[in-house]
Amino acid sequence: MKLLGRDIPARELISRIEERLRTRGLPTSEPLEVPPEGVEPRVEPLTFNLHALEENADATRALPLHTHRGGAGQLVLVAKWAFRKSCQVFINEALGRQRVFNGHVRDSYAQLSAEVIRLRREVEELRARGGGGGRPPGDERPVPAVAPPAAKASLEVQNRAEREPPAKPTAPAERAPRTVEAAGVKPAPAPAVRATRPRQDTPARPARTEARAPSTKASPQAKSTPETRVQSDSKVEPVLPQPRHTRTASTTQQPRGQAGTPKPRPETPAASTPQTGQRPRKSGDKRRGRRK
Amino acid sequence: MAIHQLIPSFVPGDATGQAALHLQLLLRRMGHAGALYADEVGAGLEGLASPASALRPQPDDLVLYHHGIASPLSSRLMHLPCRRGVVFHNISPARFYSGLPLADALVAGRAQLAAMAPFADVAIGVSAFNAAELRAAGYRNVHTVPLFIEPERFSRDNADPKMLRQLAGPGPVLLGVSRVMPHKRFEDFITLHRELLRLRPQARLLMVGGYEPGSRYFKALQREAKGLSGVHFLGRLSHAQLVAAYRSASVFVSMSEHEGFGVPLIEAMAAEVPVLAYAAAAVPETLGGAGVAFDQKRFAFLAELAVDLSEDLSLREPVLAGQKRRLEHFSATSAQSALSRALDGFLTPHAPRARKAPKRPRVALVVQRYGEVTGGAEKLAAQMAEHLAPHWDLTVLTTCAKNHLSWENVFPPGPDEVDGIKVLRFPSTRARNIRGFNGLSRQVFDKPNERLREEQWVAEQGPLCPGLLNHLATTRDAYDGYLFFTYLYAPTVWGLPLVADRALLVPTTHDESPIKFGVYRDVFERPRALLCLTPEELTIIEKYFPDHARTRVVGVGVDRPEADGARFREKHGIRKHYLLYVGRQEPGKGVGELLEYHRALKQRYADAPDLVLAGDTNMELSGEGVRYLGRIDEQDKHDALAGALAVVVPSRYESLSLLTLESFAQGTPVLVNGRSDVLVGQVERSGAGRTYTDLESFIQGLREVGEQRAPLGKKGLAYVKKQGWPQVVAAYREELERILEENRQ
Repeated sequence: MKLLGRDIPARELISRIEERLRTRGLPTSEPLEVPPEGVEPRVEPLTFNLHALEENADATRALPLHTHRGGAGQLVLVAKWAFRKSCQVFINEALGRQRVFNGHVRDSYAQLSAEVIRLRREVEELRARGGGGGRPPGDERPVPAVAPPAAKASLEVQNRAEREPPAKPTAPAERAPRTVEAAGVKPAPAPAVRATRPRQDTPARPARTEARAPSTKASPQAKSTPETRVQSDSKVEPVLPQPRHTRTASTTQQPRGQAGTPKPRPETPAASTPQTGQRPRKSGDKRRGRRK
Repeated sequence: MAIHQLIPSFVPGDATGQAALHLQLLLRRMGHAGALYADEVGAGLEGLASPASALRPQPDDLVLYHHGIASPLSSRLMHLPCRRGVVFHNISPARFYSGLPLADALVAGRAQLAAMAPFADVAIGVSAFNAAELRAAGYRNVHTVPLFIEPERFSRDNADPKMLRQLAGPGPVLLGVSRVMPHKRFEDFITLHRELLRLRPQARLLMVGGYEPGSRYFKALQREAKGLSGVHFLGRLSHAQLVAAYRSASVFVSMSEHEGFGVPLIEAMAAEVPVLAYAAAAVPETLGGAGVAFDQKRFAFLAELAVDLSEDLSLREPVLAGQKRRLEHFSATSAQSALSRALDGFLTPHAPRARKAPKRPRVALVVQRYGEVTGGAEKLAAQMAEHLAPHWDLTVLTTCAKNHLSWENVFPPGPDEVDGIKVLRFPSTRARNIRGFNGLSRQVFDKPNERLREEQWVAEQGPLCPGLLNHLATTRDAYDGYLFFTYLYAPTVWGLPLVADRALLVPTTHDESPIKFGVYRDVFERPRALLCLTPEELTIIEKYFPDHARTRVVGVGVDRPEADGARFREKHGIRKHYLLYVGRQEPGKGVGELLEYHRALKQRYADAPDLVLAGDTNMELSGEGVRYLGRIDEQDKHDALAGALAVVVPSRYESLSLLTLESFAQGTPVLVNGRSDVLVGQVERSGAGRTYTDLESFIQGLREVGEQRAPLGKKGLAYVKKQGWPQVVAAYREELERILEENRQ
């Protein structure tokens, strides 16, 4: 136990109080938790936002049932649960287009963030070549401390795609699943969560040393499976919250409709709109013609 | 260049909003205008903050965004086409809320913090702890600007007497102040109190802070406190009640596991309560060796320590003395120095001013209305402009408003000329809702308030004229001096600090409720000189602002144009003797009381004089023998004065009555409200009138004035002959010369 204060005789005060506690028969030196020290670590925004978009893109999926209220609050929870159970099919119907839209937003963000990382890396390389690695005077803007794993994964795929000869032109509907993968959504691993606070002497590492964006030399890891990429990317330790629903890689990719809940009828996409984020259509599904 | 502030939420009781308001005060003192913009603006605060969507900064403006929990404003900041800064108030660590929806918003807030880093030109932490987090998040150009409080707002005089009586009782009394949130660890207060009850069975625990009665956490606290005596959840309190709670406490306790600064710690210091705080996050830094910080929550030990702190004077007194010393670190002056350092080199420095004395100084006269308007202060401003124009290169800076109740824009904005005087008009951006304003006045008058409430009142008082403030801030080198008229209105309260080093103020001080507001301190303390109209005004200033700027009684000059009472009678068909009042016909000017007394007079005496009223009105003016003439021209006014039996001045709040002096100039005695020290002083010094405080003294005074009209009138004339415009003008010129000379040196 420490007492901090310039205007108190700390030692004398502690011993005086300890003595009184002893007299009262109370323990005087209990082992107690000492507060953690140091500042909160940086949260990498590109990673965090991509992960948050992934988590929340499906507008038909319910938020976890939660209330900060006791008593009547529990009844409200039950009512919400019952509503979900009985009306999910209508919710799916009402929010179908929102779900598609959110998927586009997520994919666009994934692509843009991957581009940002690639451009940052190129700027760094150009600077390193031109001025011995130094920044121009007065430019004190920082680069991200860590590269987001999801974005890195997407970038790897993107670079690979750039190296490969152009594929035969396909219909937009056929390209759609590939677009999803290229944007780094499916392979994106659930980012690691730092369980404990970092030591004070380990500040966020600069991007120049950590941002291992894909290079022209394809490393073995770059061609590894998503599972192995998860392991390698988890080394960068981005600080992220626990996902609301812990899902395995397969369940992450599995549409909610296949997990036992009613499957909504998907919207018919426009010819030019890739079906990003939509569920596969049932083989026997018949399109309903427009009513006249 | 303006410095605007962007805040997620601007509502009463929000620490970020208070910080923004304080920062705005400092920025004005540093000469920078700028407005507050918020995503959520509390009801009634629309005059102080605009919606965030209305923010349209210029490229050289700086926008300071106050960041805490996740807000869409962070994305907005990154895209603003101007210079950008972040003021970081810290974010509670998500570990305290894992599994709860709040956790996401907390982590999102940290992600946003890092995302903004490359786009921020300057970053400000309100503590070194916060500044360290900013650096960790990738910011450069990071500075620490501590929050500050106004200690005088926590004096015993500012405590709510009812609450003080309610909380009086045996001790020791422990006090905790914060929102009821899990990381604030209210359960630890209860555990400590339980231990304390073993030592002192009459001990009490006061817990102050907003809570939701239905919340699970709060219900758990209530269950835990069940069976314990002396536990009081006081909820959110008004400022006066909060001060009462501080002043009733023996020891202030903080059990919080995370604080980015800890405003209640310094509030407790200001309220002279010893602080006992868990040394989490920025708490040791805020305490800075003052108070007592502890690193382990050993409740039996802490209970003994709390008893010692409340009862052992040899321990308590040095702690309080140390806290008082520490408090100086959180003064406005100290915060302003830190802010200046933060913005040093970032903002364009003012060009050095020429050292040569100008032949004809360029002076801006700032007044809330100008031109064809009714009002004593406005008329005085116009008279001064007319008499000073030959000596100064004068520009009147004013609004487009004509009516002071609505501030509706009537005159066109831009350059104008009134009687040969250059006028620059700026539009008022908000019309006044007089009913709402009166309601607010009833809430805040004659009560201790926090700054937010007083600023709200000033904003509602108006006129809100950001263009005028911006002009003052951006054209500092276009004027050698500034002459402000009237302390009361927003252009003076918010405009004067921008140019205080070259400002003279004619405060026209009245002994009225708003003058007790601390928000007027800058107005009376920061200009180079206060030019008073009467010695009584000086007494009022000394009473409320002991640290006021240099004062000088300059008085006013009085014109004595030829006048003919018979002409006035002829023109308006007035046959009987009459009493006269010329001015704004408003209840606030005592016109209602005058009408009431006149009605009683007519009922008692058949030969009672009529009552003639002239000037703009906002009230019903009727009664037997009452003649309302509306607005009359200057010659008509002097004719009316010359022909009156006596001039009545019913207002209780006057800094100087021009009407009284004009009446003396026409040889007419006055009957004035005896509850106004200023009017009583004018009558006593001149010997040319009588005072009244009730109906009987009104009748008696009228009788004496009627009987001795001629000798009293002579005395009045002799009095005004001593006051001439040349002396008054010379006094103004001397004061400006002094400013120019001092600034040259």
